[in-house]
Amino acid sequence: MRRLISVSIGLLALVALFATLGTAASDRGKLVNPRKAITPASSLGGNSAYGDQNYGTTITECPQAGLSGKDREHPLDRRKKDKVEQLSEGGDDVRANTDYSCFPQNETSIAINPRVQRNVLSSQNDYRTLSRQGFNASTDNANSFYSAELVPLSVPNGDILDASGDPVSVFDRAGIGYEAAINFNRTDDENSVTVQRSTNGGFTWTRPCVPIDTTPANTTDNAGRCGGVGDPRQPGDGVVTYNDDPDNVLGGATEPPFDDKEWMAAGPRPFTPSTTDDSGARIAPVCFGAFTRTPSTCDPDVVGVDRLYVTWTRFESNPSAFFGFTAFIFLSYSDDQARSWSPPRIISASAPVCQFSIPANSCDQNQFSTPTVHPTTGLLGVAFENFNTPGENQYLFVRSRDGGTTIEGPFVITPVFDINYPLSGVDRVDCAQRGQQNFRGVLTNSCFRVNSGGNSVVDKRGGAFADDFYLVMSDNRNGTFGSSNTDVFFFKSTDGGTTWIGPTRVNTDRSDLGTAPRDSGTPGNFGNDQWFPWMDISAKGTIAVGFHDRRLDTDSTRGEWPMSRAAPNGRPGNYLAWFFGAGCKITSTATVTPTSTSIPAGARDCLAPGATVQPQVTAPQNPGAGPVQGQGPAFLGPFANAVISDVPHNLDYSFRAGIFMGDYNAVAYPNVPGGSGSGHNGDDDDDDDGDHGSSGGGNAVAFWTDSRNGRGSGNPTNPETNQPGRNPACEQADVFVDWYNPLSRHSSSSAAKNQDAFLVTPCPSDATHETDDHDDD
Amino acid sequence: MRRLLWLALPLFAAGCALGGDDGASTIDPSELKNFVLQQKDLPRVFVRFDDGRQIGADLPSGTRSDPRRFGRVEGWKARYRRAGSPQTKGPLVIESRADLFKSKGGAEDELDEARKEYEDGEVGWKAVDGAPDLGDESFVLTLLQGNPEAGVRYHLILWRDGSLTASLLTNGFADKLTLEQSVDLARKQARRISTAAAS
Repeated sequence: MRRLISVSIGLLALVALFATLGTAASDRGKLVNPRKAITPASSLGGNSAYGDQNYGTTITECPQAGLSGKDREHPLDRRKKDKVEQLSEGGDDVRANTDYSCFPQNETSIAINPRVQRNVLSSQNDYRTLSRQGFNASTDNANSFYSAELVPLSVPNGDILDASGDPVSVFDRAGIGYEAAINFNRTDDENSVTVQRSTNGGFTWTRPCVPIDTTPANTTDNAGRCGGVGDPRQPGDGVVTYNDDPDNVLGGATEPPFDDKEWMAAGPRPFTPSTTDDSGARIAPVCFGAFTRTPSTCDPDVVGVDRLYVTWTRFESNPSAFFGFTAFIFLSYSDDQARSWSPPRIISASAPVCQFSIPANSCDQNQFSTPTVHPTTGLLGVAFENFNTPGENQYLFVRSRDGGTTIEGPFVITPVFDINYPLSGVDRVDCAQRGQQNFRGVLTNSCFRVNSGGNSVVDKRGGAFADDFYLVMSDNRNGTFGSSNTDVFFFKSTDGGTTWIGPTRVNTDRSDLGTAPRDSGTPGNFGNDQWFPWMDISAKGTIAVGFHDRRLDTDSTRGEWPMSRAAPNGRPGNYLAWFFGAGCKITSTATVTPTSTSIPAGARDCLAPGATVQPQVTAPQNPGAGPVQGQGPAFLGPFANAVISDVPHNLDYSFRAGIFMGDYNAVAYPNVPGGSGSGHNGDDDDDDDGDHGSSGGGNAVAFWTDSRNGRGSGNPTNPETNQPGRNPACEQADVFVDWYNPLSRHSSSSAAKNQDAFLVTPCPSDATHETDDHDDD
Repeated sequence: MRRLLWLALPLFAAGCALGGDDGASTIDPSELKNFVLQQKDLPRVFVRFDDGRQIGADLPSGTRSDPRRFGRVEGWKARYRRAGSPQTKGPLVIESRADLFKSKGGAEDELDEARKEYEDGEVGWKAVDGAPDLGDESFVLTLLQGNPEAGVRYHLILWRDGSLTASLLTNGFADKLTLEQSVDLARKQARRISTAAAS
């Protein structure tokens, strides 16, 4: 499969694409963006791309800032804490991963138990044992965590898969916790999507079971078992998909599909079609055979209060497909708390806006799907990015009113301006030299990969709000591939996802492309980068957004990789990163449909003055080189912005020469029905009192990747630090949690100070001869 | 070009050293780790930040993205860096690779394809006339990203030795990195390959 994916981002396919597009373009008389020809279509995300990295030797000691609790077990640490570690201990950010392994954690997800709101569950790609899914459970409002790795699924041959990642944390309305993940081998193409279940707030977990067929001659029954004789698990429990590799060869002759970048949501089964109000009957739960996936009667004792939905991207070789492979979005659901799953089905649908596909107009190149379910009606919406375009890519949306049986759409949310990211190996050869994959989008002054993905949420309230959806994403429409300036944009729909309104810029710092052509290498100081946005909405309509942000680094000049800041058009600042929060409250709604000629006042909450109804086009939009929506002050929205993280961090220290920091961040409110929330969720607070750092009253929780404990690759003036037993690269990242009031404009007072200390922070010197006991507990 | 010619010190004809009479490889893939630049080949100021088998993320683009292309058996990489400023002379980052193929023909195809990929690609690599005398065949490419004063200069040197291909990619500030410095490093790697093959 890795061969397949590599081919997918390879020049061969892209040259073919370019040639074909050129013909198609002349046929249609349209301009085709030539940069599209060297920009990858959908490509693998997260741990699946970096699961086989070389992590070096084990390290024995490293900075450990951010752990809370005076009575926790701790190492006999004899290191001298450097200035960065001292500064990093000064705030109220809480490190969720409590390991001392000195390996990275990234790609975060978080959820709050709606039944016990002091119970917070989070998860991340976790490299403490080289490539697993880590989880962190708290019952004290995320002030401290129990942190470990999920046990991997069992497969019929008795082996376990080498790696897992792309974590998703969810609670259903009964307070059952779930963790979704992808799982894969490094040495062959076997892979799986799984969902694990916890009934105690996320401290212990079920182990998924790919069933062993005990009656292989009978292809219509579901008789099977897990593991050895007497294994009590239900065959198929937690297994959404499992793709075996018959030849056990990586990239061999029998490559199965690869399931990637799954996401999960929980919500009630929808009302039956004849029901018109909230008092009616809901559709009956459906369970499925472990092998046949045919519907069966559910055991009432295990039926969940919610239906679980998992969506993912299936990369599959297909010589007939235009790109040589397909990347459809699939859906499966479970009504029995992840014990059995419906047959996977394609939901990315077909539309004239999807081109270069077989059959025609099939949307077969997608990534970054995020489902969301209304907590009362069960209305399901799924947003995803689509790449079946000759020029700019596009965000699409589909929905289901009947629990995933009938899919409506796709509807166009917005063009996505991600072709003009600086590209590794093209605009930034130095990034490929560091180990970044060719053609991956990066930011000016850095080499970690970025994408435009965000997420969609449904309004949790009832009445007229019940079919309102929101999306955040980011792209480089205000930058060039010479100097990136990625911004976060917000879109809303008030008619169930058919019509979308936007763009509204969420980040409030300066962002001005001026007269520079977007699709050019023109350098400039257009603004600072914001990326990896995530959002949630409270039960009272407060939109909480979180994202990585560089606005506070305006004039730094040093860097861990000096050539990075010079190539090709580095500029001062725009290097260190913080985690920012943003918020806006939606107090009213009014239906806007495709035929609306204006946006009524009732629908204007949280919109920029320039936001408009996005056209439901019948062909991919190709805005060309001129001005586009989202550029200029008219698109600056009313979102409050404030920094959440206590200190800056240098993402060059995040993961093996700074080539990976994960693919997304996380923000959460409790998943409760509209109007009935309490605790964190019960008292939306817009008094701008700057109450960061504490749980309660209207606060959301943010969870992000942070490399404050990372350090440089050894000390060039002291090569002795490269000794056996120490990782020659001190890079690492941890995952941090903090509560924040999205409507506050107050930032931590220390956030923008002491930047110089974080710019170049060498690997700690050998601690062998240190005698000071720095145990300050 | 003339500058390169004097650099073309004869190593020795290693044409058949890394392949049997029929062109089939006689190299044990486990030896590949010795065919890339080692820490001791470089000044102490350099730090190795990555080494190991070439993995999915390391694969080149285009027709060479298949790890089993042209009968490829295995590949190794080592990456080094040093601290520096725009005043620092010489390379700042060095990437050294070695790839083993089942046959000499496979390695020849690899080198041909790589040359086409770089010379015809969008990035702007330019071939340098003349090539250092490395292995059985070699070529050199250069690239400048940014302006000639403050941009970054890259040198990419690829060669074939029997059924093995090797490459060295260096970068440094535009007017501080010379081709001679990069070729010197390639020559160290080539010497390492020849010595290992002869042993």
